[in-house]
Amino acid sequence: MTAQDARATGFGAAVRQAIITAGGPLKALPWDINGTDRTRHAARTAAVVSVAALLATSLPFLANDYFVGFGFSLLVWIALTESWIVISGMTGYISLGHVVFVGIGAYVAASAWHTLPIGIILPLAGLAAAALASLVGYPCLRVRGPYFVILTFGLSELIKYIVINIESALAVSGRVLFGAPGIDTLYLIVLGLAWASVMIALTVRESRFGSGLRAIRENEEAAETIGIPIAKFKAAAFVLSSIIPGMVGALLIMRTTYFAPLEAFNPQTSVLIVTMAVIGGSDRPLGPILGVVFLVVLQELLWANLPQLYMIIVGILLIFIVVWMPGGIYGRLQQIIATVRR
Amino acid sequence: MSLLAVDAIVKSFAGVVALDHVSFAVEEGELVGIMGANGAGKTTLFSVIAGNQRANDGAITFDSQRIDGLRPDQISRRGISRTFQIVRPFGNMTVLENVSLGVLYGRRRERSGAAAEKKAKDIIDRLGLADRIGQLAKHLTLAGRKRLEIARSLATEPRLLLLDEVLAGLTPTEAAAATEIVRHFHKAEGLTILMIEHVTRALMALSQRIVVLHHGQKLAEGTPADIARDPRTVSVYLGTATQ
Amino acid sequence: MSTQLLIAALVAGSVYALIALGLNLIYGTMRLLNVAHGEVVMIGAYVAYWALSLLSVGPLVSALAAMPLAAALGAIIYFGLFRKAMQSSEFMERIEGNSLLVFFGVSIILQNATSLLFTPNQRGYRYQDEIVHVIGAVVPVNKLIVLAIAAAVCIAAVLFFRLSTLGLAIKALIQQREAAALVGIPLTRIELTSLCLGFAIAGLAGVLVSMTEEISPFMGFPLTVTAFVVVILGGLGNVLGSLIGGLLLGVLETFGVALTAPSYRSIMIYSVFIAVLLLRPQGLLGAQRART
Repeated sequence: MTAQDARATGFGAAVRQAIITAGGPLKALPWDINGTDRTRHAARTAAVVSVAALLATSLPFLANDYFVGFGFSLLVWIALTESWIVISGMTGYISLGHVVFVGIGAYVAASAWHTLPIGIILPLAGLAAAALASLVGYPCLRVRGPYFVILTFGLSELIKYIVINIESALAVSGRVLFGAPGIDTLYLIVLGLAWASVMIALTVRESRFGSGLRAIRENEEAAETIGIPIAKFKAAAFVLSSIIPGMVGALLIMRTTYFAPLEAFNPQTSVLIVTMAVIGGSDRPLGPILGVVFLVVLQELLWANLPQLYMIIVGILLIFIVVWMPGGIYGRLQQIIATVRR
Repeated sequence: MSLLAVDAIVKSFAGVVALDHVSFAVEEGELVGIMGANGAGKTTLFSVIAGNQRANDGAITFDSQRIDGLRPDQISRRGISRTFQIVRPFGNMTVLENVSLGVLYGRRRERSGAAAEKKAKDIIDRLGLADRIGQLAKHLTLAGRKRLEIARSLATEPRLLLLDEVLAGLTPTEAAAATEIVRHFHKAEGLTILMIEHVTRALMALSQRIVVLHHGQKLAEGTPADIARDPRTVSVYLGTATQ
Repeated sequence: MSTQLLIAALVAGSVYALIALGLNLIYGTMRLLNVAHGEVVMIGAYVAYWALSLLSVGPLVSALAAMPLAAALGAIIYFGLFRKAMQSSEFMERIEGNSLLVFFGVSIILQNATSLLFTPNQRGYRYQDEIVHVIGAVVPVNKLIVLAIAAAVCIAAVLFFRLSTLGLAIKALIQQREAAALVGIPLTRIELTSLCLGFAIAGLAGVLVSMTEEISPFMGFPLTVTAFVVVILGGLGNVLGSLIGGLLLGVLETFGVALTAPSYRSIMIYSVFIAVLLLRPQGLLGAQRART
């Protein structure tokens, strides 16, 4: 009995039918981003995302602090993963040190907390992260493949220990932030950052710059040969990917009101970013959102009582996706919808 | 003034001399063939001209300007485009996307995606790839991928095209078609072409001049007829009577 | 004073070399980035711990069980996860990145399963910790045992790769994969052997580490990092390089910390690491081209 037979009869058919009926409205969504209507699809995606963001602004008025906090976490991860795919998804240079930008932003915010207003601190944090990215971008991005992965990790750890040593030299053991804004304000700000992050990812993907990045991912030498300035483009993507995480870092310590280098530069954050992006699907701008939602919801359910079980499930999921579902959840959904459409 | 002047180029890799003071010139509108046994330094020559490798010594002048030491993308923008011996398509992109990239980043530096696609479609048609325009490059046959490689290079609107063994691995029919494409673009577009080829018959038929490389040195240079008669070439390719 | 440091450096370095050796074997032959390597070490350590605690079996004996166990784990991972995936060209295109992620998953699972089963707390046991005097240095016997065994295995490895057919086959596979297949080297069998060998060595290293250090479910991660630093220093895929790199790192770490302060350990190691990656990514001894 072939797969086709299975589809035509019994359970498979019933499910298929259900999807087709329910899928009517789904078809209007811009799932298929290939082909020459690509830009129109992307514009529609951007519109959908913006409407969703607009609707999400109502959360603080509708729900209690717990849910707003949950939304905050969700949006933080969305902002981080979407920024990550600008460099790693597009160019294929997998960064395992993305948390360094978050940490730098947090450090700048913590240091400047009692001297500058939030309105300055936030962009300053982003700027600091971008400065780091421009400093290390060129030399680091000359290193290919697995070396780049290890290098970004090493870089993140190096910065972490440097900050630790600076803090101890200053005889500072943790910085406390007084008078930080409440969760409602923080939520709205991070919503803006998450929205911006998704928009950046979408725009880059559709742009001439994005095509160049994808060419670099496919075959770097060929890309350079047809006229793409590979070093410049890679560095630009790297810097672009650092800005939002920097600002998110500032927001995160406003949330916890406490800066500690070990937490701010925690490599586990980098790992989770990569994991969520891969599980969701790192090839398309909307993929990571699925990964984030999936894992954060799972975390909410399991973390309090069984944190190790949660991590084990994450590990299994990661393996499963990489080996059996390389496009991530998003990729698989795209395939399903493509079959249903026919 | 020659379009391209290669002057005493030296290139060595860890002690092995791949190019040993090679010099020659290419005039605008010419089709010059490069011949030589495997390991003679032909592809290295292309890599050095196109900027993928840097020469250890010597000069390369294109359009009266020195280009040795420039990056490949800079050289591409000046008007030199090359294909690779082992083709390098952007596998997970469609034929259209591959060629469009050439338009976007080539000499014209097209900004608009739509305009790039239009120009790309034109080239795709003329190279006979129209029926596969939406296919992913990695799903093409070898002949298709070789055509795509040429199409992508042509999309950058080069003044000098470096073709590296575009006939290798093709069936006689495919090779004949590819030869026709090269001939067409040379004659109809007046494109200057430098061509490495092992299929000697095709090379002799297409080239106006041939440069023969051997162990990294220029062995001989002349018209196809001259080369066929040249005793040095003959001895290298066919051996002498005593061998 | 410096003999003390030297011996400490040698002990640490020999263990690093051992761990890096396994990692290099796995990467060299199959291009798999085994970031779960430290967890295999951790498992070896727990085997030694439980063997002593429950069965009163000394680590030198339990090593004989830990190694095949670790090798079996390697075989399970190979057949369960990679065998099928490595037939897909898409997977192989980004084999290094993909293997990294898969092994991530494995390491997360191993760490947390161990934590769940045995609690996250540190444990230790006492074994041969009487002090002896060696050329003016004061050393516990267990460290000397660790040094002796690690050094012996490293030397055996060097001889193995130079003299045995299997060793030569593995070297051939590392250097030129397609050519190795062409001359009749059975790729799958050699790959599997290398993987299991690499895991077994890691298991042994775990037993050694447990003799002198406390163990915990999360002890593996810093060891993985150290192993990668060593491997980068010596050159990815270069077996002899990882031995020299291990010793170098041991020396750097021990003497560096002695000259400055313990808090600078990580900064020093990562600085060297990054410097090597940026300036000579093929390693101090490696020969592969690694830069674009």
